[in-house]
Amino acid sequence: MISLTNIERYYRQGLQKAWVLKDVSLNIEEGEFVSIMGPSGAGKSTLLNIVGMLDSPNSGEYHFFDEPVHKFSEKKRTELHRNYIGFVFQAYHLIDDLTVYENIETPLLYKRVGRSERKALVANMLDRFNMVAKKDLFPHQLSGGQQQVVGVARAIIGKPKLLLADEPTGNLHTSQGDEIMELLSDLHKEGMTIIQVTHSERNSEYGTRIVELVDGFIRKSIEVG
Amino acid sequence: MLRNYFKIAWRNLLRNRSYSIINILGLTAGLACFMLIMLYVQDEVGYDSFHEKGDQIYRVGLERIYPGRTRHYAIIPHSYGAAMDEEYAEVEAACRLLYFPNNNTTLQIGEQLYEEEYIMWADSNFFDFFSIPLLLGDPSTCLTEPNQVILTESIAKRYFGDVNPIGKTIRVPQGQNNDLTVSGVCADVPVNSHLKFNILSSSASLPFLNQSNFIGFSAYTYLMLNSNADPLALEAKFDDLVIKHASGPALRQFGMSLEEYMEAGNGYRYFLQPLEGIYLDSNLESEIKPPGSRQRVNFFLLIAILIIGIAAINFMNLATARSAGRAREVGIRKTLGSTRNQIATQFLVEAVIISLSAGILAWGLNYLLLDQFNQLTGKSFEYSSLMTGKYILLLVGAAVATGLLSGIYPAFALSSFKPVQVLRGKFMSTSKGAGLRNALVVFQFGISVFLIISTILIHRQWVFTQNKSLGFDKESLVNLQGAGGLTAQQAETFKKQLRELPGVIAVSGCNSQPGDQYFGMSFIRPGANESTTGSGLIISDEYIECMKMEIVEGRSFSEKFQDSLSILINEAAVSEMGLDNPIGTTVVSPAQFLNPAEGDQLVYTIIGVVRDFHFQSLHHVISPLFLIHNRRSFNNGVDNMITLRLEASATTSTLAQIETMWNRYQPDTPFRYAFMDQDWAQLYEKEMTTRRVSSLFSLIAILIACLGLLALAAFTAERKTKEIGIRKVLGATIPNIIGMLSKDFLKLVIIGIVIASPVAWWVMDQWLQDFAYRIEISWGIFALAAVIAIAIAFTTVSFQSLRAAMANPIQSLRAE
Repeated sequence: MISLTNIERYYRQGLQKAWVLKDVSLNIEEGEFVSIMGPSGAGKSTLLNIVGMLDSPNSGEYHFFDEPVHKFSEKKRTELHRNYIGFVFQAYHLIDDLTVYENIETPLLYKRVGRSERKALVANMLDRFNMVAKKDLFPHQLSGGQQQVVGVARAIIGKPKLLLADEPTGNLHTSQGDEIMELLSDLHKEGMTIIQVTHSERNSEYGTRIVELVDGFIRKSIEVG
Repeated sequence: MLRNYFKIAWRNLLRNRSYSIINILGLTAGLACFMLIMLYVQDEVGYDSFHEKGDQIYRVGLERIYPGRTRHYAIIPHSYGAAMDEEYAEVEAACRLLYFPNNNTTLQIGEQLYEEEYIMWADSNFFDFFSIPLLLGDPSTCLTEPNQVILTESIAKRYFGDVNPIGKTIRVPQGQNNDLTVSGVCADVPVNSHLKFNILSSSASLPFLNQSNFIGFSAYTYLMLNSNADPLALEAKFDDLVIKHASGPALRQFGMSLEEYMEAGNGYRYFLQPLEGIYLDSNLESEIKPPGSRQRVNFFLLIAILIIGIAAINFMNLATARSAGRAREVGIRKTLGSTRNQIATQFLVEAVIISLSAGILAWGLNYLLLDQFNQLTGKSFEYSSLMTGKYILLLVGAAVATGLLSGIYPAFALSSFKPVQVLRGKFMSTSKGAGLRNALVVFQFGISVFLIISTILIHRQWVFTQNKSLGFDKESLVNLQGAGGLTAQQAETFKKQLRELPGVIAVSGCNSQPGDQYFGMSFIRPGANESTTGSGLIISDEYIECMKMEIVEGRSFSEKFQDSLSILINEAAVSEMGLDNPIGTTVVSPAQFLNPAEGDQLVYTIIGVVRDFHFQSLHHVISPLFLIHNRRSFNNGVDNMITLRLEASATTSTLAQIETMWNRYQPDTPFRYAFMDQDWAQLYEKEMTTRRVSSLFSLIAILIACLGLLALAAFTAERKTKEIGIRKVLGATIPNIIGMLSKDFLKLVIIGIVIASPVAWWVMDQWLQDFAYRIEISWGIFALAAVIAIAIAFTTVSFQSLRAAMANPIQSLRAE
């Protein structure tokens, strides 16, 4: 499903290059649940962003379902991104001015889903995550855990093939974090491909594979479970 | 999707209340001013646009060239109209109008007397030319016979009530006993026309029109050209026409052939003015009513656009300055699959929503302020003018355009954010757009400074015109109009009795007052080959003393002398005639009323020189003036107007006594009086409107600019909260902090001043050229404007800075 070959990413700092990713090659099959681990500054989030098509590598090849993403225009990438990828953030990143219902609905607007279908899909999602009573609340009226639940709901409402989660529990208490991880685990069982970035050993154990990143290199990749 | 945009926009407005209020207030004020000024501009530009054949109608104007100067007249010799019609194939018809200003006529209907000012004479094809509906009467016969008159609807109502006035008789008690017959009623002349009359009389009533005249100016002459005629080509042919017709009369009048006369530096150049442009573009002598000014309309238009520009800039600056707040949302939306265009559209929709709501508020504001605006400009707009399709379309168009223009930069700046950057926690878009923001602040304050400078200059010129010594004392002077009905004998006793009233200092007579139209005339020294053309004024004994004019040389008219063959001239006439020793110089004039009907021309002797006084507004240079004694005028000792100088303490009871006296002498003529200083002020009504409008709208523009600066300063202070906290911990004082925060803004304001000053100098120099007597533009004015602008900007900014500087640093640092 995902094939990264010799991916390099650096930023220019004056005359020098600050390397973030060096010669990263990685293949991920459909149905995997990969945890990317490593110390701060190892390039975990950058890797996730490149996979999520929010960032482009300086060199190397990226095939997504055998399509050469590295050759695509921004418009085409947005198109792919919109239809296949969902994002969950550490800081939830809900839109402050929108209610729970509207936040979950937003990706559907960009996919030009019809009104009645939108209604049905959002209602399903609210029902599934037990958020029906909270659908008219604004993000700041929710606890962190609840906000992240909305974040997950929003990420998967467009039925993406790939869910990317950047430290989804980083801002949460342990119990809330466990709930979110259970949620992701359930989604994985339903067949969703998931890549998460995490610091926590505990969380990484929910996945099927752990990729360890150090100073821009992949140090090891171990199958778990 | 659109619904989503609306929702977001609305919630954003509510969440950032102070920001929204500043934006909407600024845009509302901007749009409201813009629309009011546009109302005014449209009205001014729309003069005479209602004539159906307006695009084919031209008025013939005259450029009269004298040695060393030229004058432009709206009236031309009355025989040219017919000559042009006959001579040129492209002229389909010609129509003449005649109007004699200050020529009030008393009319009698039954026993009732009316004083009528606006009587106009017209050729019978008047209604073919001008689309003023004839409500009663036969258009083919209503202006063909002598003494036929057409009344306007409201005058007909006033004179005859609801009775059908056709065929009714109006007596003219003071005239040659010609009774007038009402032959028609037409609609009132629209205000937005250069024409003005209450009564339209047939040109057949004026016998002098039957004599051919190609030299003396009297008639407003309009030509109807066929639809494919080229007015410029036609104009070029007029010179030949002048030679053909004016040669003979010139020889008789000037004592030389037209060719010689032209070689001596004289000339007649006739030109065409499109009907619709007469009001705004034509500022000739003897206009029917005071014309407008294209320059002023453009100036107002400029102010309107500048105001709306300043408001739009506020909008832009605040949007980009606050972009950090929206960056996260942009990032999220992009990760949710939004394209850049969709985000840009969202921000544009937001901008248009804000500007449209400002538009609605502006409409309400216009409703509330319409009366005040009418007072300000002297117009009379009705509320219905805020309902016309044109107005609504313009308002919506202006609002949408402002929204789009001011939203487009923020939209594209915001939509360009990369989600990877903005979602990485803290994001500061401080440097982004700062350059543009600074440029826009410079621009705003440049505009403000420009407006401050022009307002100061307009005001100073105004004060100058009001205080400039006119050469006579206009205070406490009263003119009684319509004294022409008295015989010379009666006038003398009347004046003598007036003089004895308490509160009256002096009494004299004249035919016209300074500021009103003086007739034109010329004198020639016997033997000289150039005549001197100037204006003429007929006065009685004591006039010079009554007006407090100054005699530089010789003496003024006096009852101790016969004086019927004496004249006074002003200093301008002395220099134009080149007289070293004016007193005792003899002159003759071709003017008919100064000579016996038959026999030789009479010789007049200059007995005195009057210090130049302004008999026209300060727009005009003082030109040669000849003052003729009323014993030698066509009315033989009769004064049209009686001028009294009252004591400064004189009260209404003095006027009441004058009125009683008037009624004893002239029971047939209504008592009408006017104060000289008020009439004189009327000459500057245009400037007064310009002054009021420019100062008010400049003030508003500056306020809007300050509003923007206030918000920007608040934003900067907020962004620098942490820096301020650290500096205070390190020992900075409050003035240090204020200085730090204000410095950057003041730099921008100063750049604005430097850029705007030369522009203002240039524009205002053009404006001042319109005045023959004007103030100098001094550096002091620029310094004053700079000080005002800096003071305003500093006050605005330091208001915010002070708040930031006073805040407790512990709090601002803990928040980090």
